[in-house]
Amino acid sequence: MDPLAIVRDPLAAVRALHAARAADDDQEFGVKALFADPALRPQVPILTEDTAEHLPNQCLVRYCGMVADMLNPEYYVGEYRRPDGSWATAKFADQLDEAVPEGGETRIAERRPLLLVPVPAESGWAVAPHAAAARASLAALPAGGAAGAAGAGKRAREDGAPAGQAEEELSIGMMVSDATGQTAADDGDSAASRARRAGGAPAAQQQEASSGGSGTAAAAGADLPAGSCMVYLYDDAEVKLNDVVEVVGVLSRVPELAVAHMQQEQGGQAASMLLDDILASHLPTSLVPRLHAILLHPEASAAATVPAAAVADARARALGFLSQVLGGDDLAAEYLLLQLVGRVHHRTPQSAVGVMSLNLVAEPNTAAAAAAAPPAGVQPAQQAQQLSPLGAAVAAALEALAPRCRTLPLSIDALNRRPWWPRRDQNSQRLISGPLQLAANTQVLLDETVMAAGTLQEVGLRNMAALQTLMARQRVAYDFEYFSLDQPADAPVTVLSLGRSLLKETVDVTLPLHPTAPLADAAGVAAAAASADLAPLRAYLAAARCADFAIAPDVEEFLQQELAGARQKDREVNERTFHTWMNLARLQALSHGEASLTRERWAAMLEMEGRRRQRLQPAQPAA
Amino acid sequence: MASDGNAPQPSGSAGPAASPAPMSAARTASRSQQAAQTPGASVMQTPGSLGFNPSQQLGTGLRGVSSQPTPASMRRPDLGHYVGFRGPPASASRRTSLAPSESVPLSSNDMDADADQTYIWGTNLSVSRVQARFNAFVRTFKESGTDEEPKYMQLLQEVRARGEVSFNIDGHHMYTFDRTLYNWAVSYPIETVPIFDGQLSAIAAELENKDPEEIMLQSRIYNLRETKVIRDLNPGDINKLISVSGMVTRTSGVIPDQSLALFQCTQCGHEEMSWNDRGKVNEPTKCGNPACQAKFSMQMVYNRSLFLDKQLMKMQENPNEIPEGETPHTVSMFARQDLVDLAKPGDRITVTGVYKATGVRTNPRLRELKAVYKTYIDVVHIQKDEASSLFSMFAADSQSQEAEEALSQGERNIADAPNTQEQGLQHTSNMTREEMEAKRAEFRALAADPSIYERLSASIAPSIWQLEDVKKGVLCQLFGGVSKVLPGAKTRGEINVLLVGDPGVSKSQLLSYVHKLAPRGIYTSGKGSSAVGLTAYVTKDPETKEMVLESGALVLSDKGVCCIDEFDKMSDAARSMLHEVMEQQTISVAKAGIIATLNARTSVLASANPVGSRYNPQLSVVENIQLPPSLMSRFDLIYLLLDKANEATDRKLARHLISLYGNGVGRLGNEADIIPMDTLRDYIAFSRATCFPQLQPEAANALSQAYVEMRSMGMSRKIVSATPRQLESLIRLSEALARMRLCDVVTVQDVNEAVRLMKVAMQQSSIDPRTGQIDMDVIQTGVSAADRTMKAQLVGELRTMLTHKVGPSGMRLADVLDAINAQASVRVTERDLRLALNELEDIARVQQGMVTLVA
Repeated sequence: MDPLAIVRDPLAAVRALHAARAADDDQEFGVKALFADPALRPQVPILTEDTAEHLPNQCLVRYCGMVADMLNPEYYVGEYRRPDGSWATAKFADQLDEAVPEGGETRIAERRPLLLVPVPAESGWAVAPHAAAARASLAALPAGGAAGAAGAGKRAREDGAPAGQAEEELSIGMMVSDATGQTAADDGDSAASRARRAGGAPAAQQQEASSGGSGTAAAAGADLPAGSCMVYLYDDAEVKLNDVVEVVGVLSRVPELAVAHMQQEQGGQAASMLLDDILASHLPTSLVPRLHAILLHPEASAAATVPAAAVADARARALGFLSQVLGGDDLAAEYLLLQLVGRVHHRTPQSAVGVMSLNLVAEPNTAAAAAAAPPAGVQPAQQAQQLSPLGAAVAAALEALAPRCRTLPLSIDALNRRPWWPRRDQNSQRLISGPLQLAANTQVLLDETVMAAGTLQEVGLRNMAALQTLMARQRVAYDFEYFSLDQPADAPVTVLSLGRSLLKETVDVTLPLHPTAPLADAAGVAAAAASADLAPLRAYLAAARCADFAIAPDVEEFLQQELAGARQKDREVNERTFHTWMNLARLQALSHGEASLTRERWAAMLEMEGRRRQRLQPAQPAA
Repeated sequence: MASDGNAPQPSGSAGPAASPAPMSAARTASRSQQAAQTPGASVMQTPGSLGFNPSQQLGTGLRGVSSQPTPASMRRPDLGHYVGFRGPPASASRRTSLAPSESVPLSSNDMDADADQTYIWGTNLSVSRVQARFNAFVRTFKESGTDEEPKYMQLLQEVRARGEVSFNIDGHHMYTFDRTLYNWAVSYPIETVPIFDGQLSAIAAELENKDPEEIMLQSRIYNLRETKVIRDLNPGDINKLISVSGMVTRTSGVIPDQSLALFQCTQCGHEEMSWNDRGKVNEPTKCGNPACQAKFSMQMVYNRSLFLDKQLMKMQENPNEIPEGETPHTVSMFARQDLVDLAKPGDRITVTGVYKATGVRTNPRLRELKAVYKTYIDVVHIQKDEASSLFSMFAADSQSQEAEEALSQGERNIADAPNTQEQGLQHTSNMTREEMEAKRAEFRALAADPSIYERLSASIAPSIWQLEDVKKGVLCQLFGGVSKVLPGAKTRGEINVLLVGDPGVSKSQLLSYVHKLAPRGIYTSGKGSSAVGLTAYVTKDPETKEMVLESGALVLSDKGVCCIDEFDKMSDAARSMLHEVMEQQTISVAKAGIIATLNARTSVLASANPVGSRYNPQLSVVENIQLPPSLMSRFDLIYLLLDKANEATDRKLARHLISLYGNGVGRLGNEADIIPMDTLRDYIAFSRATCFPQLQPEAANALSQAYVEMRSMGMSRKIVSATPRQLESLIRLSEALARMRLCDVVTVQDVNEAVRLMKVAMQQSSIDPRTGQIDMDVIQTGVSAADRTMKAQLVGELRTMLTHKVGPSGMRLADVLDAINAQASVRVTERDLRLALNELEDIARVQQGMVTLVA
């Protein structure tokens, strides 16, 4: 079949396959095979926030995002029998071209709505090519399939629908009255209410346009980040929360959903309770377009292997870049580099192995501390969102190298302001995201230098506890009101602080900064990142992060001696030190592009740790 | 309304018959016609009342109307039958035939009794066959062969005697008696259940010699063979009877659900009734009075219409049923009549009901969207899985079990066992009765293991080797002794443990492990702890310029373990608060002019670093940690953890870590015996909630003997080796040891082990470094008996020396020290000297390092 025709009208292709299917009970009828055709993929336009308005309704699109919420499964008319006795499918669509015959036979099927959002905290360099590709893909779409034309066609259908028939059917309005114990008959002035209902439509659009930030707006999806998308899954594909996936599916816009939400706001408690889960997955499509997934791929791992020769060069450049940011502090740059290749590779019930939490300390009365001082003349209220110059610079550096980086100022105000952990709103039946809902491989930077004395409220305390769980166990507890569920995370945490961090109990590595040159500011870092070609560095980091790793038996023996011997020599060495050392040694080896641990790396790691300890000595003679 | 007053009122508490409930649609039509013709006969009781109790509301006298005595009322609003059973709607898509297993012979007279072969629409299932089989089930089912009377006949009489409507049928009973009947009930509940109701009424009527129409009974099937989780519901379950477990998250207010509407013509006053038919009430479009026939003149009279209670509930999956990486699913449910308000948000329930799906269009003007269904469960039966907390259940179990048995099973769904909430025990996930039974059995099996004590101590912080006795002490703390209330006094059951030792000896690790394990564990660092408060303060440490978090730990850990790291660095104010906590188990807070005494029944597990960070073997424990002796004496066990590197265990640990980082599989080596942390936590909580051991006479003797021995050890040398506080500690330790075995008596072995633990702890901490003897005085006053003698000697010597040697210009302190050391056998420190000089204030004064004599 002509790829362009499929892209323009995928439903026609699906229905043709359905009509031609071999067995009556075949639920799949070869759809995946058709759409998985590699020739098709380049033709499929990419759905993003920008391109959404240019894409016609019911065309085939690609969309990439993170699974932010998994809603209740939905039952729908999967198949219905036409008056002529043949079965028709209603898969991959919100609306049918033909009316389901009244009282006709239907088969109910199930589909799973997923809420996908653009990957949170994604760095600019990772987003840009995707956005460009999306714009380019739009150009490939022939002008004939423009949005206006498709929309007009649909409207004509609506108007053509016999009005009387529509009246009889159960609508949300009717369901509302059922739930509140009213019946159609008891409503003395039902005509008036009908008029109200009709009048509600423009008001809903207004409301949607202003999207006034209140609780009801949250129910209508105004709280979601721009570019979110409601994806329907039709098969049992394994998807987990916070997975990053690419979806190929049928775009669907239903302008009337905004009206439904408007009515819902007018209804009472019982009304919203009955339909809230349906409404949760039927958000106004102007905010959250709907996508009926035909294919679902996990995020492509970017890890093309980098040649060994290039590794050394890339590593040196990355170190140089980080060192420049940290005022020429090579040791700190080394640790920060290791942070960038960290990945959770094993979990035990109590801990996650593979990432460390790093605390970079700007010691009082040093240049670093001066850079970390909050900018003068800033109102405290503004400070909640504000980073110190040091924080901003490190954030800019991490963003330049890591694909995802979440920077959070750790101030009393910011901590108390709102929950950072995700929680389910039982009214809207949706998960309200928090800054700690992150995709795998996200760097977390906490800027504690902006902390001042003050009182932490309950929310603030729980935020702190959530951070500690993240650092210690790489898990985030999602709050479902009556219980919380721990979801795994993979997000190495770096803390910037003046003096040791508040979170020192969960910090693995504390390192005072000893800059030899003035620290860079955020603008300088951004400029440096823009001028240099960082692409090889990013490729190198991505490859190092995903590489396999093993310890040879003879090295194992050697390490045992080393560890036990170290403990004999220095009594302050304990299990936690062992953990840190093993982790650092592993990350060191990975950062050099090595797949196994050597004695040299181990020695280098010990030497690096020795230098770190030296820096800790004068400030903390014993701790 | 005037005619209403004269209408025949329902009589009798059970109410007169409900609707005649014809079997076929034709009959229904004829009945409603008759009803329409005799409007006066339909009666509202109290105008304005919306909710009725079930027996009242169903007695809405249609009695006079009934001309065909049919077996009973089949009105089941919970199944959508407001009027009476009518068969499924024509739009239903099911056309399958029933299960073929029709071979079970039926009692013939039942068959003949109703020759009317009415079939359930769309099936080959005849009403009379269902009736016959159900009849047989109720009349003959016995739970065990020895039962005298058929179980459900007995139950029926009880239900009738209590005047109740709900009649609970155990699905398992029905299945064992007649599989086909059970399958019918599960597959076609909307059709079969009303038939069951009719049969029940008929049987009751026969027993009581009454008109079946006067008897209202609703059969509620529960305990189905399969209980699903919400995740597993699928479209195939629609219109089936299902059983689902979950946790209630929200309930709506009570919604009046109209079952009968009374319309009155505004023109002539003619009245007409209209029943709610599958969720709809049809408004007559014109007046039924042949003389009037006015169009659109009928208006509903609200306070003469009938409303039933209805409630919308939301249920969410139980936490343990959610696969990792997914969010919980929810399901909506409608509860009606007596099921309203039975479950509250937070309850774990198992619901039996009919799974329904209704088409929804999200916009009234757009027909195509109707392709989506809203699903919900029409609830038939709610069973609370248990009280809100697992361990309150364990505790309350012994009481409620009797209550449970006293209650007939018929009441089980309403029986909301009195909730003796044992506050403070962990509110973890709660579970069903069966799961709890399994848990209980598991715990008993654990307790029966002869090596349970060793296994438990090995399971505490398995990654920390060595420290066996410390772990055992901590274990005792976790299990705790029994608090006793004596006339006029209370003794605490909580055991407090102090760990003193070098940095890097896993103290913090042990603490954080206990924190994770203990119910309501609180972990705090002594440096930043205030004793109370639910908020925390961030302050700047003036010395280090570090930010410090001050949190209120003690109140939060009521009935838990409060782990305080860096105990020695705790501020004096917070520490003084600990005095009260550790002995009285309360805490006094003065805030806004109110002094409140809060409970802080907490065990304290503290760790302290010695002064100067390393333990100085030359000094006593008290000198090493510099804690006030009054506080020290409140610890039952004080352990000294000195760092003795042990290469073998270090290697073991190293091997484990290397494998963890290499191929990702940890090798701890001793996993087989280790009890997983979750089990251990539950075991401890279970033991604390259910086991209250008492001292056996022999054990009491052993205890007093051991105590006397410990005291007499010191007697000969005039030092105290044991005090009454130690006796109390011994009792607590023995009780904790008995608890580990879930044993109700404290045995001599327990006492011996307690004494051993105490001695181990004392040996390490109360040894007077100068004499090598256990000396409780070291803990009690900070000064040992040897010290006391020496001090007296020193003062004497000093007095003589000062009077002889010090001239009018005085003498330098350092010179005095040298002089006294020259003649003393034991080295005298400057501190000792200053203390001695303080006692000699009458003759000498120290000023700026000079000792001068008082004139």
